[in-house]
Amino acid sequence: MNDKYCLWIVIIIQLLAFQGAFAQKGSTITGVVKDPAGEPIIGASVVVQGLSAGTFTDLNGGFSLNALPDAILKITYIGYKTETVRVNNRSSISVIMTEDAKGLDEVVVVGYGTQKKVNLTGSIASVSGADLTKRPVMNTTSALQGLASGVTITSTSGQPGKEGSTIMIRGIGTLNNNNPLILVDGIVGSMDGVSPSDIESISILKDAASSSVYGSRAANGVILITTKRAGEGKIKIGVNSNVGFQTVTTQPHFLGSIDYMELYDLANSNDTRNVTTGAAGGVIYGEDYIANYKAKMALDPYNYPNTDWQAITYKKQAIQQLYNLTFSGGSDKMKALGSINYTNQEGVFPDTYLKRYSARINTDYKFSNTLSAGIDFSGRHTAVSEPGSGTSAAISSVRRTASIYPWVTPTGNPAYVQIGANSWALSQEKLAGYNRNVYDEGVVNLKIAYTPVKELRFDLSYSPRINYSNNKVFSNIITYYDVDDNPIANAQTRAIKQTYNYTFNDDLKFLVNFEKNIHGHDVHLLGGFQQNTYYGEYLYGRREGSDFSYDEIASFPVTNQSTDGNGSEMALQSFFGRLNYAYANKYLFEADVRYDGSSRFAEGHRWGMFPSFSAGWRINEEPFLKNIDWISNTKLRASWGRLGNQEVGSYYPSSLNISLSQPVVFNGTVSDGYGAVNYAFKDISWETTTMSNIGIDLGFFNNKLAVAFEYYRRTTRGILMNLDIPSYMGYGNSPLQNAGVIQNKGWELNVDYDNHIGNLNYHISANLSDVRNKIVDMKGITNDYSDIYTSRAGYSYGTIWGLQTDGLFPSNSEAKAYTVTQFGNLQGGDIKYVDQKTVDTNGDGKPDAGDGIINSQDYVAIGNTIPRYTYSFNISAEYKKFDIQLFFQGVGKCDGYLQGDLAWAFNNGANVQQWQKDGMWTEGQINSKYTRMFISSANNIKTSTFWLQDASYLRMKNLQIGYTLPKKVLNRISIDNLRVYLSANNLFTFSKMIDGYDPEQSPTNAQTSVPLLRTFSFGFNLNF
Amino acid sequence: MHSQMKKYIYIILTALTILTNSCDLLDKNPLDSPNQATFWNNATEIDGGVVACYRFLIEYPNVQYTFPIVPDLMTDIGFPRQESDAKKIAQGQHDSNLSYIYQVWSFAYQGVGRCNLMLQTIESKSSVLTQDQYNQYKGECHFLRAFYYSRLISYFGDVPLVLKPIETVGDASKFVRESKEVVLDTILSDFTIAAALLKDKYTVATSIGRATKGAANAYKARIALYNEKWDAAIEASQAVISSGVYDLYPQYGNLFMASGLTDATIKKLS
Repeated sequence: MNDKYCLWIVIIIQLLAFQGAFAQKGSTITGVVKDPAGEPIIGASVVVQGLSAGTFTDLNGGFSLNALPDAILKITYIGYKTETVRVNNRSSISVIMTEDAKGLDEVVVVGYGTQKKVNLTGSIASVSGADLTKRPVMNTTSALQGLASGVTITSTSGQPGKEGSTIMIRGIGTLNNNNPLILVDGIVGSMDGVSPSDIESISILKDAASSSVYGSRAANGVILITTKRAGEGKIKIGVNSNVGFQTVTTQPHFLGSIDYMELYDLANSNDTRNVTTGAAGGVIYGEDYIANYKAKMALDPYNYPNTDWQAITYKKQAIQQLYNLTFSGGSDKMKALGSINYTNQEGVFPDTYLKRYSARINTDYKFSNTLSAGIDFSGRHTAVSEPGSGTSAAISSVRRTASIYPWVTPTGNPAYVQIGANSWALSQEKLAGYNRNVYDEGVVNLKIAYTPVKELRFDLSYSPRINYSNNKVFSNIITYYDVDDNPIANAQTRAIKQTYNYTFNDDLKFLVNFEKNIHGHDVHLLGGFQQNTYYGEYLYGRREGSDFSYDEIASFPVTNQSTDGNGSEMALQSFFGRLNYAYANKYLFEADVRYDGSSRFAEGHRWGMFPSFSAGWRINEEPFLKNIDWISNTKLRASWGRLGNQEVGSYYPSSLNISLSQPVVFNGTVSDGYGAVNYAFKDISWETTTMSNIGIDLGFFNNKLAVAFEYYRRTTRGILMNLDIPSYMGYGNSPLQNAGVIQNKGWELNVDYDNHIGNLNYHISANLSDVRNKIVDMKGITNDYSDIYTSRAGYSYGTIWGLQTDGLFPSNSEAKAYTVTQFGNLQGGDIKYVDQKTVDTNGDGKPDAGDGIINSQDYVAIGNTIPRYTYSFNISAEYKKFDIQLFFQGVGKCDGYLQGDLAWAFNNGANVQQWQKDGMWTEGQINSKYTRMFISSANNIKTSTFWLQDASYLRMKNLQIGYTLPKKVLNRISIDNLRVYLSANNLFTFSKMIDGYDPEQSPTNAQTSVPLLRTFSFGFNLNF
Repeated sequence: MHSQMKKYIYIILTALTILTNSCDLLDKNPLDSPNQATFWNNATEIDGGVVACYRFLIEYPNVQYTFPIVPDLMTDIGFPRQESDAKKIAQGQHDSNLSYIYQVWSFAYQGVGRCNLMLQTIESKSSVLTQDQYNQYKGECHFLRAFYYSRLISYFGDVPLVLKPIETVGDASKFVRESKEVVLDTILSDFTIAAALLKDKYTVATSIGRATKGAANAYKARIALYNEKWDAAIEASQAVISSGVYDLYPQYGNLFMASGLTDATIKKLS
C-alpha cells in the first residue's frame, strides 16, 4: 500500500519537473537538431517519450539529457513535423526535422473544427497569417484584399479609422445587410478588432456546404479568424515594427484664379447666348479685370487670391506606425502566447488620426491525456478623431471652393469665403472642434475539452464580450475675417454632444465530436448546441450655446438641453450537426444541418432549418490515375445548401408597439399621448439563401502547380423589404415583409505555382473571379437613389440608370435643328441624347420609333457598379537571404458615375478642373471629354452615359523587398531571426479614369471622402 | 463499453438540459415601449390613447404649416413663392402621387384608426373608467372620427368606411370606396353621439381645448351645410346657439386685424 503511494508521488513529481533533475537509471545522451537546410534549430523541445522530463536545444541546436538506452525521444518545434527517434543505445544523436508539408497535409480551419485540405468538399479559401503580415497595413480588412478569390473588399476613404471598408463574398445577396459573419476563435467579432500580427490563419467559407453549420447568420459567407497559439518550446519573443509615411494616390487638379475667371466668363456667355441669333452673351469679369487681377495676384494674395485649397488643407504626408510584441512558449502541460500591439496612424487630412492599443493572451492547459482547457483574454482601446464639423463637410468644400477666395487674412485669421467654405479652417481641430470616437473592448474565452476515449470528445466553451464606446462631438464656432481683419458676424452655435454606448454579448457552446475509422470508412460526427445573447444600451446628451470654448457639457447653459437613451436585446439558440464520411481517401461526403431560433421573429416563425450536402471524389486516388506521378491531386466536388439571414436592422421587426411620445398641446400645456405608429407583420421570418457549387481542384508535379476552378449559383428569397399596406389600416409606415429575390451566378479560378531555379525559390499565385448579380423580384418596387442608381427587378443591384448619349452637337445650328425635344434651349457643345424606340408605328407590337421627347421613358440601364472580373496575382521569390514580393490587384469591368461639383464646373458655385479645360468642347467637335462650358444647364446635368466613367483598373498593391540577416551574425547576439524590409502600397495604377480620380474609390465618394492612400514604409521582424 | 456509452449519453443529456432550460430566452420585446396587445390597462393609459387621436388634426406633417393656411395656398388667397405641393395644386399640375395629397389621406386614416382602436378599448376596459371618463373619452373619439371623415369626404368624395380596427392586410383588402352619402350619415350620427356624451365646458385647465358638446354640434352643422343637409345643419347650429356657452364676437371687422388676433375669447383650433 505504501509503495503504491510512493510510486504515485514520484510519478507526480516527475510529471511536474521540466528539467529532469531527478536522477534515473540511464546515461547522458547528446545530440544536434537541424533543419533541412542544415541550420541548427534553437529552442526545440526534446523529451523522453512517456515522461515529461526534457530539455531544449541550445544556440547550436545541441541538447543533452538523461535517458535509457531503449528510450524514445520526441522532438517538437513549431513549423516542423514532430520527430520521434529511438535512442537505440546511441550516445550521440543527430536529427534533421522536416517542415510541416504544405499542400496535401495542410489542415484548414472549418466550422467548429479543422479538416485536411484534401478532404474538403466545400468551397473554402484559406489565408495564412504570414500572407497577411506581408503587407503592412493598419487593419486586417485591407490586408485581406485580393488574397482570396470571390472575396471583394472595397473601401471608400483613406481616413484613419473610417475607411468604410466592405467585404463582399460572392456578390450582393440581399437588399439589407450584406456583411459576412466574422468569427474570431469561434466568437462573433470584427475584422479590425484583431491585429494582423495575431492571426494564425483565416478561412473564408464561401459556399453553403461549408457555412451551413452556421445557419441563420451565414447567408453572406463566413470568415473564420484563428489567432495564434503557443507551441511547445522555450519562450520565444517576436517583435514586428513598421514605420512609414502615407500620401494620397491621386487628387483632382483644380485650376487657378485666372483660368477660373476666363472659363467662367466663357460659360456665362454661353449660357446667356441669344437663342434666335446665336450671338454669345456677356461676361462677368471681363478681359481688363482679369488682366489687372493677373498683374496684382503675385504681390497681393489677400485681395487677389489664387488659393490652391487642396495644397493648403491637406498635409503632404502623414506618418503611420505599427508595433507588435509577441511572446510565446510552454511545455506539454501549459502553453501561453501573449501579444501587445500599438498602431498609430495620422491622416493626410489634418487632425484625423487613429490610435489603437490591443493585447491578447492565449493559454492552453493539459491536465491529463483526457482533459485540457484554455483561457484567452483579449482587449483593445481604439481612438479615432476628426475635426468637429466632420471631414465630409470640409472635404466637400475643398473640392468646391474656387481659387478666387482667400484662405487667410494678413494677420493669419481664417478668411471669409463668400461662396463655398474655408476648408482650411474647417479642417483644424483648434478652430472647428473635434469629433472623437473611443472604442473599448474586452473578450474572455473559456474552454474545456474532455476526451475520455480517442474517438470521443466533448467541448464546452463560454465567451463573454463587453464593448464600451464613447462619441464626443464638440462643435466650435469659427470666426471668419475679411481682408481688413474685421470679424464677420456669424450665426453658428457652439454645441457639444456625447453618446455612450455599452454592449454585452455572450456565446455558449457545447460540442460532441466522434471520429472513427471502421475498416477504411472514416466517419466523423459532430453535434452541437449554441446560445448567444446580446444586450445593448446607449445614453446621449447635448447642450448648446456656450460663450466659452470649454469642451465639457457642464460649461454649457441648461436651456435647450436634450437627452435620449434606449436599450435593446436579442438572443439566438441553435442545434447543429455534421457528418463527414470518407472512404479510402477517395470518396468524400458531408452533410450538415442547423436548426436556429432567433428572438427577432415572432413565436411560430422563429425557428428555421438549414441543411446542406456536399460530396467529393478524389479521382487521383483511383487506380487508373494513381500511378501517373505528375498528377498529385484531382478532386471533383459539388455542394448544395440552404442558409439564412436575420440581420435586418431592427431587433424587433415583428413587434407591434405603442409609441409613448405622441403628445398634444391643449391650452398651452403638453398632454401625453400614446398611440401606435408603425404596423408590423407577425409572420415575417428569415431571408433564405440557397447555394449550389461545383468545383475541381487539380494538383500537378507533387503539388508544385495547383489549379482550382468553381462555379456557383446563389439565390436569396424572402428578402425583407418595406412594402406598402393600405393607408386606411391606420398606420403611417411601410412594414417589412419577406418579398424580394436576388440571384448571383459566378465562377472563380485559382492558380498556384511553386518552384525553384537553383537557389532562387519562387511562388506565383493568381486568382480571377466574376459574379453576375440580378434582382429577380422586388414586388414591383423600384428603389431609386441619388438620382443615379436604381435597384429594380431584372437588373443588378446598384445599376446606373440614365439616358444614352449620341455625342455633342457640333454647332449651334445643328442644335437648333434637332427635332427631338430635350431640356431648355440647346446650343453647340450640349449633349445629344438618344430617343429610345418606345412607339409602335406599324402595329406589329414592336416599338420601332422614338416619341420625339427625352423623358423618363428613355432612361435605360447604362452601367453597373458591382465589380466584374476581379483578379489578383502575387509573385514572391527568395534568393539566399533576399526576398521580394509583388502583389497586383485589379478589376476588369466596373462603372463609376461622376456628378455634381466634381463633374460640372461652376455647379452651384463650384470650382473648375484641368480635365474640364483640356477636354472642353470646341466648335465642330461631335464628341469630347467635357461639354461646352456652362454654369447652369438643365440639359447637360441629366444622368447619362456622357458622365459615366470606366472604373476598371490594375494596381500594384504591394511591393516588398526584404533581407534576412544570416544566422551566423545573429547567433552572436542570440537572435533567432531578423528580417528587415521596405514596402510600398498602392504604388502605381493603370486605369482609364479621368486624371485625378482613384478608380477604387467611386467618384460619388470622392466628393466627400479622403482619397485613398499610397504608403511607403520600412519595417523589421525580429525573433529571439 | 456499454457503461461508458451510458456515461457519455448522460453527460450530453445533462449538459443539454442545463443549457436549454431557458426556453423563453427567445422571447424578446422592445425595452422602450409597450406592446399593443398588453397596453391600455388603466384610465391614464386610455386617456393618453385618446389624446393621441388629436395628433392628426395637424394636416401637414410640419407643425409650422397649420390647417387653415395650407389649403389657402391652393386658392387665390395665397401664393407660395417656393416650389411646393400646394403650389402644384394651385397650378393644376398635381396627380395622385403628390405627397401632400397622400399625407392628407394617410393622416386622416391614421386618426380614424386610432379612434376606432380607442372606441374598442374603451368598451372592453370600461371597468377601469368612471362614468364621467367613459362618456368623455367615447364622446371625444366619436367627435374626432367624424372630424377626420369630414375631411376625407371633402377632399376625396367616396372613401372606404372603416369603423373597427383592421387586424390584418387580408381583412383590409375587403374594403372598397363607400359612397359619400353613406359616409356622411355615419359622420352625422357620430357627431350626434359625441354631442350627447360631451360636456359643455371643461373645468380642469389642462383639458381646455379638448372637444366639447358645442364643438361637436358646430362641426356637425358645418359638414351638414356643405353637403346640403339643411335640417341637420339648422338643428345642430341651434343647439350651439341656445346652449348659452358661446356668443358672437362683437366687432366682425376686428377679426381681420391684429387686435382680433390677440383677443382671449377667440376660440383657437388646436
